[in-house]
Amino acid sequence: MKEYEKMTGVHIEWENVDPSVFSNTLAAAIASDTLPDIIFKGNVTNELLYAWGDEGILVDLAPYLKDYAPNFYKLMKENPSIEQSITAPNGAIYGLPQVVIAAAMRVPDKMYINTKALAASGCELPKTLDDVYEMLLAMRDADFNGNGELDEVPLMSNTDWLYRYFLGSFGLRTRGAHHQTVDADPVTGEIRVFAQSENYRKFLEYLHKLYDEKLLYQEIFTEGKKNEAAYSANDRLGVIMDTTLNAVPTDKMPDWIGLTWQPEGPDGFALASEIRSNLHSEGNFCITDACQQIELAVSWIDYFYSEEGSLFYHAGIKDVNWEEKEDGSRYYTDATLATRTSDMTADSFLGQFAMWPGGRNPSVMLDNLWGAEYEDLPSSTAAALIHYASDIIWPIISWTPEENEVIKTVQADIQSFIAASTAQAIAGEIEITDAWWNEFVARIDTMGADKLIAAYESALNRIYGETDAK
Amino acid sequence: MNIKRSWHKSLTKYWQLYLLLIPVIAYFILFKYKPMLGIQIAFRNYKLRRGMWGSEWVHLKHFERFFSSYNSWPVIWNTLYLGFLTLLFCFPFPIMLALVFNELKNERMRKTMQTITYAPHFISTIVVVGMLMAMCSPSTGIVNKLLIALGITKDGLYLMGSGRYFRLMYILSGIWKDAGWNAIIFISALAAIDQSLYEAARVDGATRWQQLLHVTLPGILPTVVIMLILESGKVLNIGFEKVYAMQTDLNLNVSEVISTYTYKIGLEKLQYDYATAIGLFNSVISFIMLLAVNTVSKKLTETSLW
Repeated sequence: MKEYEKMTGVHIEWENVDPSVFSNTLAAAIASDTLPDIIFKGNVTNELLYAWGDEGILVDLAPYLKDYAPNFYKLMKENPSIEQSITAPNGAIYGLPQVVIAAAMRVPDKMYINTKALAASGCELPKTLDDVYEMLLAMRDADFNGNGELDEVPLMSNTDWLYRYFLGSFGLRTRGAHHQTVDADPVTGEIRVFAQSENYRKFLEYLHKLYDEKLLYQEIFTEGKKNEAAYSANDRLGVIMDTTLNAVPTDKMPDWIGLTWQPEGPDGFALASEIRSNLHSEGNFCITDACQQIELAVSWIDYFYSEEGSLFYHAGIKDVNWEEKEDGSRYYTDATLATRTSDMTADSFLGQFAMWPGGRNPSVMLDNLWGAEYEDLPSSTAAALIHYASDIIWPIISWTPEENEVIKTVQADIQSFIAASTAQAIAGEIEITDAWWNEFVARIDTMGADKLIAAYESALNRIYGETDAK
Repeated sequence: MNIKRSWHKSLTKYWQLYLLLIPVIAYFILFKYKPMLGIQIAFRNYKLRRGMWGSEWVHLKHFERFFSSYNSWPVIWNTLYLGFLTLLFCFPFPIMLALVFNELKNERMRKTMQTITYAPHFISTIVVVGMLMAMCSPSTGIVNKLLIALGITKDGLYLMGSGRYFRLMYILSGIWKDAGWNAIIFISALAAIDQSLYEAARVDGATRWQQLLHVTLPGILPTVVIMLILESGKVLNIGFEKVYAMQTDLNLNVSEVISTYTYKIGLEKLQYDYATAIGLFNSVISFIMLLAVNTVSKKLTETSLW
């Protein structure tokens, strides 16, 4: 930050806010008229961007972008999903987002397989969901850590990751990471609440089978994947769902490989469901009506959307913190690496010289970074998996206030109902019968599925026009 | 006329005392009554810039939205269910505990037991839930090891995950944590009973059981009733912290209560006006229950709050 002050000659006084209370702190600042000029590394949701923009609290940046933010403007025009996401229903742009171009950042979910467990199971890498089941079953009984006890867990994950990963193999959640309840039917293109699809029942039955046969970690609903580090240190894990292998102890990492394809489901679907659009998060940089020099603020932030600026943002100063070898690969300098003590996490190490840690970055992530998601295994797995993305990934939608009320109440109610029922069905507390299934589908209808679908249709028409391809 | 004059008289005579009252009144006005003005945002379309006086009125819109939302009735039902269960099981337990302590004649033993039972009160709720999670884990928890050893279950019960056990665990942990602490007030009420009553009872040949029934219980009845009235006002205000910490997707259908729902919808989604409306509804119902129990108790036992 200090270096950037020198580069630009702009001095800024910062006030740090804890991310967990960010929105409420900002709300208090608005209510008491003590707003800062700019909001940096915040996460103002599209909904608030529009609400506060409409009240005149945030400045519409759209008129300034072309002249004062050429880097961002270029990115936005090259990747339409960015513009679709950040443009409010009234055509204004109230905040700049974190843009992701690199596949490594667009595909967070991967299935990692322990090669020792795989060898002990005697199975090949799974091509279909039945293969996955067979593999996990063999792992369960193989005692692959060889301690004479069957203390291994074939699959550890938390619920969200587990669902996300397998939904794609049933042709569900086809419109990417930003939409958890509604998608478009991969065959007919019809907008639907995908939990009402007959395939969702198959999905539930499949996961229930895994849980019932003790192939899933039995305490997934309370513990998630909290024990990933402890279990993998003792070779007790067969398969994990995660972004990186950071939870696995360093000496165990070579045992693991990433599955570079999506296993095929019973109806031939093999979609990767958790695919981000080119937007990681919205509203990471905003300018308020307290700001006198909007042009300056816009050009100040624009640098971070260039290739050079992105490296500066994520890795620090060139030739001081990192250097480029002749073959084009980049490394941290020895002096920088020397500051890393053994008890430091990757984030606290990076935090000493780069602005990357903590997320919510008003910047672009290109393929020129290294570390974390950019390490070889996660990055190459992601690059392979992105071919399993469906053709259309809906952006983060900027809703009108009317649509938003539906999203916030109807969708929230439906989501929590689906989450509860899904967990109960998988754990076997509810038996998946025809009667239960029909009631489940009907219940979502009575909760207002039609209103939710209508809200999506009107928003999608605004973004894509009245075409069929949504 | 008469009253007015005596007011005036006492004011001039005891003005120092009235002066001392001012800070207290100021405290209540500033920190208790002034914030209550904020309730009005339950009836407004709250906009941050315009503030609580300038946002437009929408009357009962937020209430309509809550009651027409699908989740409102299940959430109200869960709250009432859990609240009444708590009242039913967690309320009598401290009384029994106090009676047991009262019967313990060994002073040292009694003090030790009392300290042991109220110590858990000082453990923070989040830590208690964390301990529960560890102790009740189906694979490694001591509780399940015990249940398996006793032959009650074969594989271990998913006590903290499953919705079936949520209410049980909530009540049991509540008793474990707070019964000792809540017993203190009953113990002090027991200490206040006139010993000569016991002597008279003994002279009349009453057994210990009869003494308990006819001397001890009537002696602490007023305290019990007052505590019951206060507790019944809290039926809807069950502890947010603990329920929230114990929530999983698997038990959501029984564990979603008004306070957790308000938190999720109001603070996480920044709908202050809507959350205020739900909170206000909650308070009004609590107040009505308090009044109702108070009236009934006034009729039956002639004990009441006011």
